[in-house]
Amino acid sequence: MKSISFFIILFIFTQTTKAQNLADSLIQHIIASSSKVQSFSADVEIDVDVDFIRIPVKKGKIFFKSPDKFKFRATGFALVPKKGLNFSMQKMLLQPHTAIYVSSDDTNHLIKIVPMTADADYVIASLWIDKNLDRINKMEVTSPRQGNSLMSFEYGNLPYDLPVSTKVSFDIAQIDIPMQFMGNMAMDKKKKDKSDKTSGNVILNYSNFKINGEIPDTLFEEEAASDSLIILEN
Amino acid sequence: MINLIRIEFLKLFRRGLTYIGFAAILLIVLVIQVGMYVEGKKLLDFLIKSLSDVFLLEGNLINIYTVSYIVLTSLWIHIPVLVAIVAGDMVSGEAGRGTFRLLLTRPVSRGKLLTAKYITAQVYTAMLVVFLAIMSLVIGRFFFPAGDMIVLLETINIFDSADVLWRFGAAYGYGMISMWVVSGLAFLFSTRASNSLGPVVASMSVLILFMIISNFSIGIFDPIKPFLFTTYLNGWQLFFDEPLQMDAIVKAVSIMIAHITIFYLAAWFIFTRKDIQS
Repeated sequence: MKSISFFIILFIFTQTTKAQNLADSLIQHIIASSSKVQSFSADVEIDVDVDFIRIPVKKGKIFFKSPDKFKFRATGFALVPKKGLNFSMQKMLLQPHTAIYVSSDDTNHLIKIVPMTADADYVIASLWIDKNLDRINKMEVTSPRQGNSLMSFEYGNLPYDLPVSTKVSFDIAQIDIPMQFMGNMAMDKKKKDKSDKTSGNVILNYSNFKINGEIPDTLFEEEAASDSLIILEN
Repeated sequence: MINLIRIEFLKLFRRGLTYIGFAAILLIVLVIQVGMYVEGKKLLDFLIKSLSDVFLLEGNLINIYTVSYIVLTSLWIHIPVLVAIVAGDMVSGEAGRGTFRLLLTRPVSRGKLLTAKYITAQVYTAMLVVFLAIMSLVIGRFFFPAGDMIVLLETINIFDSADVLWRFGAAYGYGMISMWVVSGLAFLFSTRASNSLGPVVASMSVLILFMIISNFSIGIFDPIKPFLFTTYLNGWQLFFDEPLQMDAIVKAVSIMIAHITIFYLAAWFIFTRKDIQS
């Protein structure tokens, strides 16, 4: 009886260790793949779909340089989602964390990431990693300030694991606009949903990638305080 | 008729009262633009700060178009007063100065004279609105750059800078019609009075009363609200909403044109039958 128990425990232990090793190796593979991209620039279209925001599709250009330099440039005003655009996953994976293998389905491995630093800006993240191509298809991040953000990635025919389309879904607090600001006395006031939060989607479509080309550091330094360029911080 | 209108214009622009409206608009526009130049960004950041939890806000929304929109909303309550001062004086001013009897000894029908004065008052109103547009959109360029425009209505509406000018054009056009209603009302009261103050006070009183009814959320007023012109005075904001509510715009314009017509006909009816004693 004792020997049966011993073998069961041993089996569970080896399976757990195997799963843990798989989780770590998948994460290492993703870090290694993303590190092949030392820099890139691309055109991006941002389509914001939030029920209390009306904004046309905005076009801009993004610049990235390893390890963490990132800039977005657009004409006019743009709402850029904090999650999903800045390859926060790459930065997230480079921070101390514990990866836990949870399960798998026909196409993906599901791995949970728990931060091991006190100042991490997320509580937990779930990664759906393609079984065949070892790249992230979907990612859900829970953070104290922003709630849940779900990102879905679509890849084109690029030789690198860079998404050509990203869909970011998130919760956002309803904004209570002061009625008299801007003289808001609309004739036919629409019924307002009084719920505190609503969900929103942003779709980012990338094109014209220029990968591993020369991007001068000055581009990331210049106009740091400008209105037309921003540095993404997380 | 053209001669009559020309004469009315000469009379109008010889009075200091006529310039009060232009001076007031110039002053108020400048005050708002300077205020927005100094504090506008802080104010807008406060209003949309909850967006910054999820989004990085990229670009400058304090620009000529956003500020012009704020100028428009701030002034739209005050322009009726400026319009009423002049329109309310068009007929009653003659009566007050005792020049009507002399004027009507000329071989001009009362109807023609009234129409000339009416057209003069309405052109003056249009000039005020155009002046406001020029002050907002042209003079504002000295303070602010062009850019995408933000409008906070029931929703946050952001418009491309290329999609803004026609909206302003349409909004000012709509605004002109709504001010013609106010001007027509003051003109109507002017035909009844023999001093300038009466029509101005009367038209302002009606305006305030109707505005209160239009904006009061009490069920008893609901049946009459659709027929009050004050319900539609702010309808120019519809041009800054997405999607555009064309049905609401057509309805509002139709009702205001009906008011303009009724006010003019009532003024004509009163004036042509009036016993002029001064």
